[in-house]
Amino acid sequence: MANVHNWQIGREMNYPYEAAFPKRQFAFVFNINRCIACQSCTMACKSTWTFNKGQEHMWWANVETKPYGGYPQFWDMKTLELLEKANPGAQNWSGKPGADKKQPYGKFDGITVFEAQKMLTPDSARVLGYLPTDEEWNSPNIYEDNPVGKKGVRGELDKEGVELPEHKTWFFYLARICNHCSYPACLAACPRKAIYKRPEDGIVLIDQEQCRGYRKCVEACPYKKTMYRGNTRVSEKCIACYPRVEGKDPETGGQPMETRCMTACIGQIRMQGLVKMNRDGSWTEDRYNPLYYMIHVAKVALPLYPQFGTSPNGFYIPPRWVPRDYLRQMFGPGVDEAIERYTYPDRELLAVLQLFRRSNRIIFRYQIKEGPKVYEATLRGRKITLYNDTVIAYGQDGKEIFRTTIDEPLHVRPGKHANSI
Amino acid sequence: MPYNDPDPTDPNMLVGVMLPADAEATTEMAYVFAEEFARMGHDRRQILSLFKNPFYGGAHGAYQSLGETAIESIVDECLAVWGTVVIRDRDSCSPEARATSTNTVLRRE
Amino acid sequence: MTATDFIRYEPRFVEDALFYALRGHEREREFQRERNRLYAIADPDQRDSAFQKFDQEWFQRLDLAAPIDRAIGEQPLLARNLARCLVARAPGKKEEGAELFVNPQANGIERAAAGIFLQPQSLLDSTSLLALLRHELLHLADMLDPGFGYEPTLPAAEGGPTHDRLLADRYRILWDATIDGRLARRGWARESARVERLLEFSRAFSMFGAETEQVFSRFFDAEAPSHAGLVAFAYDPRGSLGAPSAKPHPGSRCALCGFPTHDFEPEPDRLPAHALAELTRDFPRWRPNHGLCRQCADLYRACPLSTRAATII
Repeated sequence: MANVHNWQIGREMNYPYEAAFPKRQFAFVFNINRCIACQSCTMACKSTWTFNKGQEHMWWANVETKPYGGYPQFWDMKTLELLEKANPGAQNWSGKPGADKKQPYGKFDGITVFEAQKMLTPDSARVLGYLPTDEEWNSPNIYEDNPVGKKGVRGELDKEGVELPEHKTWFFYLARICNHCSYPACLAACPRKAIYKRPEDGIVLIDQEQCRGYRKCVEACPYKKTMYRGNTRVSEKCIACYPRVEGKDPETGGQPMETRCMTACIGQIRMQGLVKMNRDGSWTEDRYNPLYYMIHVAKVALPLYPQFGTSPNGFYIPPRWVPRDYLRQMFGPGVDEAIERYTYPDRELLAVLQLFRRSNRIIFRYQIKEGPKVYEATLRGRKITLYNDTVIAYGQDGKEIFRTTIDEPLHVRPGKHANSI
Repeated sequence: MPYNDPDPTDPNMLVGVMLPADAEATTEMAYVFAEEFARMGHDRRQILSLFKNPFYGGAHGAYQSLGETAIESIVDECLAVWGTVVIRDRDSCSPEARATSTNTVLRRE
Repeated sequence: MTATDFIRYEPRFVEDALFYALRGHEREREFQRERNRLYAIADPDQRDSAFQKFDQEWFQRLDLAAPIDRAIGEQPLLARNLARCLVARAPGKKEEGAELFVNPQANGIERAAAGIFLQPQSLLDSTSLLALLRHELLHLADMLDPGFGYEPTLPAAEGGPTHDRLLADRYRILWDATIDGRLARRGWARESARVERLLEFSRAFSMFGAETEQVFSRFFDAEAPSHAGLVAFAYDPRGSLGAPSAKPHPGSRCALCGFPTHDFEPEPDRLPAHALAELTRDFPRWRPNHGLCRQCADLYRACPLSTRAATII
């Protein structure tokens, strides 16, 4: 076991291999506040990569209803329970979120999936995990807000449809893909070293020639984003649409392009990018990269279950309406600050939020050209000030991709006036 | 389709379980959806159809529990702030690239 | 028909069983070496077929199916009456067992097939597996035996769904007792089988008191039980023995509500006439010697009062 630094948990931790970081890292931000579970991302991925025989149960991208659902069922609860069992009552954070880049969310004092040796069976195993059952994989949105049949009648929807079972209290939609972690549990667990992290973009891939279907990666990944394919006897996972990220899609003329799931997003919740990495695994200061800004400057986007220890590269703007305890468990101690900043966005954040889904090309830098104040209003006691700012997005080649401007308020006059156009 | 009815003795199963939440949580959720979609440039009809369509369980749940009048008032309140600004995008890609673009941009110059 | 034609294994079951069986086995490396060669086949369908064939060969080579073949061979009725027997994975230990599947549209031997559901790791403990299979397959053999006269549904209990459940529970206990009794006489049951089944029986039929073991023996020691006999006893334990006792045993269940009670109505035959009339209208097979608990007796005594109240409301 090597000792590596994990900035998301603010401490050194055990990992089976020495730390090695890519030049740039595939990363993304999902804004949960906008997700309405239209499942466009899910279907975009499915129809691109997992429509073949043997892949029926595979949804590399999925959207699940929290806290009721999960794909596979109970994936997060089961791993949280395993960790709690390994370290009862001590899975806690200390310190406070702050400016220290080595521990921006404080320090996690509990154990990660790599540090639960006493729970590992057999002893040679390297990661704490479990293998979901077929049933847990087979129905991706089971018992969420989907209609079910009449009680006792199988395989048929209720023809009368009087009332669908609905959850009466809060919930939100959690869109997920592979987090292309900096310390991937799947990679750590593979006995054949068939899983690798690409040095150029940090995308985690399974070498289909090397995999022998041991399913150790499926067992180890706490996010359950590697999946076993029964007919080929190998495991498969999200490939981050790497041909697009490499700029191979003709649409962008050689420039890096976002993944299928990102570009299909109707709710404009997603932004994906490539961020520069330091040799110690921290992110290189890149103030005007939109992901760097949201994650390290504004700190509105947080990692999913950082306490698992894999240093995921998927970050989420937490939903404003959900009880904080639940969110703190899911996104760590940075939740309160993130929600505060998101609820009262400053001028820069408001401009950066305009960058979401205006283009399919990966944004490497943004620039804000400030304009005059154009509008001031109050919404539920919050003062909202708008400026005629222009935010310009630049691609990898340094050329402008698009620019977005907030214009003056527009008043549409009813047609009854004599001077109406 | 589910294979079995949910097992109420399974502690992981949250079907039919009331979760502790602020009574305002549903209202807050409705405000967030309305504000986000108003900010993205959707109009009143579009935002209301999001709430009225049962396919969108979260928004529709709020619509059902708060009622149409409350939702209309929330949407109007958000549009009063966000509905009056126009967000203009200018794409710098080549015309060919723009023609093949699958991106959804609401108001493109 | 050979055993391999008759018994079919789900490929995933075979593969999972092999992984369990070969973990730490002296031939594990040889297995992996041979198996890994199949990854050179690029076409997914061809690769899948090659893996299935390979797995079947190793499954036979390690003789993992021996307990299944043996248990099925012990029940000739199965091969004579069924088209096939499918062995597939059970999701959990509790779901392990055997089922009979009947296709009403088909005729002759194609009408029915057996399904055996096991966890793949259960193949590693052949003694326990054989015991489980012998028990389960004797159930199937009974279902196929005209002498047993199996019917898939039990008659509806007069007392409603609670009693349906009670009846099904009693029936299961009686049938299991006859199964384990027959297995014990062939030397196939655990030594503790009789004691365990007797305990289960005495909980379900507590009305027999000191006679319990004697009554239990009528099932455990029966060589040719019948479905009808078991149903009759489950339905009316005392009546079917032809020896109604004067009073129900304390702690046994009330014949009406089904709850166990120590507080039986002392003289059920002296209930008011209107109460007896109402009671026998609801439960035509009830006789005073079946007894009833005080709560039920009070309910029927209060019948006129309730009816009057209902009219006013």
